[in-house]
Amino acid sequence: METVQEEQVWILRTLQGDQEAFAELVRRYQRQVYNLAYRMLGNAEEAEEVAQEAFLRAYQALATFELGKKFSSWLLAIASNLCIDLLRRRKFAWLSLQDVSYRTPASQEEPVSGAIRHEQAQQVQRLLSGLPEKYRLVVILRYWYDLSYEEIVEVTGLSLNTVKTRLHRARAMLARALEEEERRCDAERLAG
Amino acid sequence: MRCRTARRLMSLAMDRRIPREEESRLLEHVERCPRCRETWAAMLRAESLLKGAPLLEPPPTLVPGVLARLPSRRRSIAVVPPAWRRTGRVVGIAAGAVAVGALIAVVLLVAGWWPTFFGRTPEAWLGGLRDSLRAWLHATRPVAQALWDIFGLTGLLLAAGLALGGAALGVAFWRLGNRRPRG
Repeated sequence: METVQEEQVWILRTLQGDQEAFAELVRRYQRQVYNLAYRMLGNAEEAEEVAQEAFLRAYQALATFELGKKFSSWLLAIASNLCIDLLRRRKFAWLSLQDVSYRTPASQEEPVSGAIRHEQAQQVQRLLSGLPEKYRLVVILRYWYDLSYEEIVEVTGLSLNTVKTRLHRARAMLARALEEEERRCDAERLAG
Repeated sequence: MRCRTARRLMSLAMDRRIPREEESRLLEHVERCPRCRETWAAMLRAESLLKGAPLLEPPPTLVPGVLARLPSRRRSIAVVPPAWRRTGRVVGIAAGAVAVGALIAVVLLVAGWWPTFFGRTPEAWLGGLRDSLRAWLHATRPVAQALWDIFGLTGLLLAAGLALGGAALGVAFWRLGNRRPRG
């Protein structure tokens, strides 16, 4: 409760023109926003760019934030909209310039130490990037942000039923992709 | 339980969003049906794999990057309370609606005033214009004429004033309602 009050003080001080107060908000939420963008985009560089943009938009629109509400949900909504916009533009660019291969997450450097963890992290990104973006978003919010269905509704603006359906479909797709990958691995091991 | 139902329930069961008895019926089905068992197991494996992936540390350049791009401004951003903003939007929409209504009245009054002033029919003036416009004028002329007969020039000026004022008020309140700080 205390942190929520602290947060409201920072928001009010930002509205009064105190940029240092906003810096506090950025520091507190950078991890959440950055990771959402990273999981959505699968690319560290773009994730940082989108995270910064999300904070700037939040700063500009801060007066429209309703103080009683959850700031993190509001911020994540801004960030996820930016991610979806970017993914759409990327798709469009890909469609119009077939020869420009867009960066795939698998080729990205993952700043996590340990070879096995690295391999796992890559597998996670691979599975995520196989999901259509609208399914990817609900999975990310559910797993890494531990949001309840109701909170996912708040962030995405979807209906509760749509959230349920998307989670269900996303999980089915993830399971299928994982099974396929495991089968391929087994086949390789047998062949090798 | 049938496979279709079981599959529909799996995701909800993972989030503990179904009643106990339904969950146990699902698990019973999963015990017995090899294909559903495989899917269920794969879903659980995928879940633990994803949940196990740690959140990354954001790059140290992120915060300074945001702060550097903030519009430099010392002036405070006027805080508009949410209740005000809502009222602002409602008043904005209402004023906009009045403006549109008044604008229609203006058009009608002009149409009623036109023939009496110039002593000609609208058709004579708009002869070259499209048929649709002509038909519209035809259709509305009785109304327009009646309005002109009743309200006359005062009414026309009043309606014009209302339209302009309403539009200005609408825009002003709408902007107040959506007010956000600018650098």
